[in-house]
Amino acid sequence: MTSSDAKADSQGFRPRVVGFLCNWCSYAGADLAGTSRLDVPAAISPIRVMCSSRVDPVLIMTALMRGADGVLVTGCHPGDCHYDKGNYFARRRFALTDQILTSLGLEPERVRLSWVSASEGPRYAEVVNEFIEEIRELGPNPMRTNRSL
Amino acid sequence: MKEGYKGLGVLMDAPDGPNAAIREMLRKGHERGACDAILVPMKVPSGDSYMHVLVDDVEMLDRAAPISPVLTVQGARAVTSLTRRGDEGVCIAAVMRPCEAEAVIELRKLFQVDLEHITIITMDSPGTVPLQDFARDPEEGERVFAEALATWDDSAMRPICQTCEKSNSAVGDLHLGLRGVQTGKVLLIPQGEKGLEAIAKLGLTPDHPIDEWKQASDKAMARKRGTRKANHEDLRKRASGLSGLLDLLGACINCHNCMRVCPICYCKQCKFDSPELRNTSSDYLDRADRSGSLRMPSDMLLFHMGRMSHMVLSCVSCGACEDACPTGVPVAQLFSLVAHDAQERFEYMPGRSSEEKRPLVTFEFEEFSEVED
Repeated sequence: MTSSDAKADSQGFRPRVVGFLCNWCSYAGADLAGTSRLDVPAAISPIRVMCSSRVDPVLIMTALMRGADGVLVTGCHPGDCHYDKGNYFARRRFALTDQILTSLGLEPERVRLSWVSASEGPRYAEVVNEFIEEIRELGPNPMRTNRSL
Repeated sequence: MKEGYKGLGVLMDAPDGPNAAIREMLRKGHERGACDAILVPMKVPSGDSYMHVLVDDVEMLDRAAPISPVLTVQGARAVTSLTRRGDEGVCIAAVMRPCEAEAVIELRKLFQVDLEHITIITMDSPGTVPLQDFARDPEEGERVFAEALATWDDSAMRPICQTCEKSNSAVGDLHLGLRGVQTGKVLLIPQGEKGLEAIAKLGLTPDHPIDEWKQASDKAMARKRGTRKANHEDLRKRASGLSGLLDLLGACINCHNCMRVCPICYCKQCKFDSPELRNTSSDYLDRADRSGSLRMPSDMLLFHMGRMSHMVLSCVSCGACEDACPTGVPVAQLFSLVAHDAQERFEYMPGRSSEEKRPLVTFEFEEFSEVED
């Protein structure tokens, strides 16, 4: 791989991102990105979940507090959910997470929700690359090094 | 706020103060068969606290303090413990503050209470005395509270009460308007069918306009809204960002009292008490290695933020959490700040209506496009 994952910047920062991928669309999309030999950074650690609505805000917060620099939640496009409407609930749960982080001034930019279908290998690669670049600009998650957490 | 029946209430005599008037009304209601029992705050025999008591013998009502100086067990918890096994046709009149009644409505949506035969009676709340202050000096607590009830000056009440813009909300089936009502009177405002039924059983007719009370209430609530906004802005400055937040929560001793007394936290098994968060020592050591050290027990911030994500949309800002905190963390104020933001974003008001769905169990097809990337 030639992508940004292995590259540390001048401060030696290598972003680490946790991705929650829904089984039916986004995980298949990620798989397609792989079989299409698209450039997807290894900085993302994908976790397969059966539905994006299964991602409780606590899971996102746990990832952040254990030092992930970013958390990506992906699911089927609205209208295409394997379970009909799971992703609409996912969007609400995500909006709540976003609100809590915003209200507490805890860098809501470190979390992202994107819709990726099973046929969108290139989109998956693009989303991940773009997000990791954003995280790179943000720098390391302060929660990673905070001693009083 | 729900509107009273055609904007009319019953102006009742209260020569000996609102508490005596409510006691009299409860007694009359019991006599006339409007209820089989009454759930009402009462002074404990030792005289240093108040508890919700289920009263069967009306003689006991003499000791009832419907407008009690402290919030001990949240009324919604008392109603849950009464009705969680379902409705058995026992009619109970439950007297509580608006914030407690709002929590009851949220618990109904969570299937934790059965309100079929419960008539809720609320009243304008002057606030409550901080629980620990009251425990330290009950006499002084009584005095301070009596003054607040007489003057509606809430500056000695809990901070969360001073910023509560819903303390006059007519949430109950019957609401007692006190603020802006002429001295020696209370205004009984019925709401919905249950309220009207109760009023009829009491042999009363709603014939007094509630406008005056409503105007006084709205004015007072507007003032409190200002206090709330100022308080939230101050808190936002202090608690914003990781270090500010950790400073604010720094004294937390992980006792989880805030969660245990929270009326909305009804789960039998909380994730934060479960083995799921128990990790191996090498895991902790890994984390300590990354940052140089690790606060133990760990995950204090995760607990508070996780609890927020689970209950904040239904948070009624009753302040039970802050009263229960042994180390004085302003946890209710922090939760109230986030609750306010979140409820505004979801256009949801807990306790507004039991017909309304909780935000996380419903959705619109087109919404929150700002979080989609």
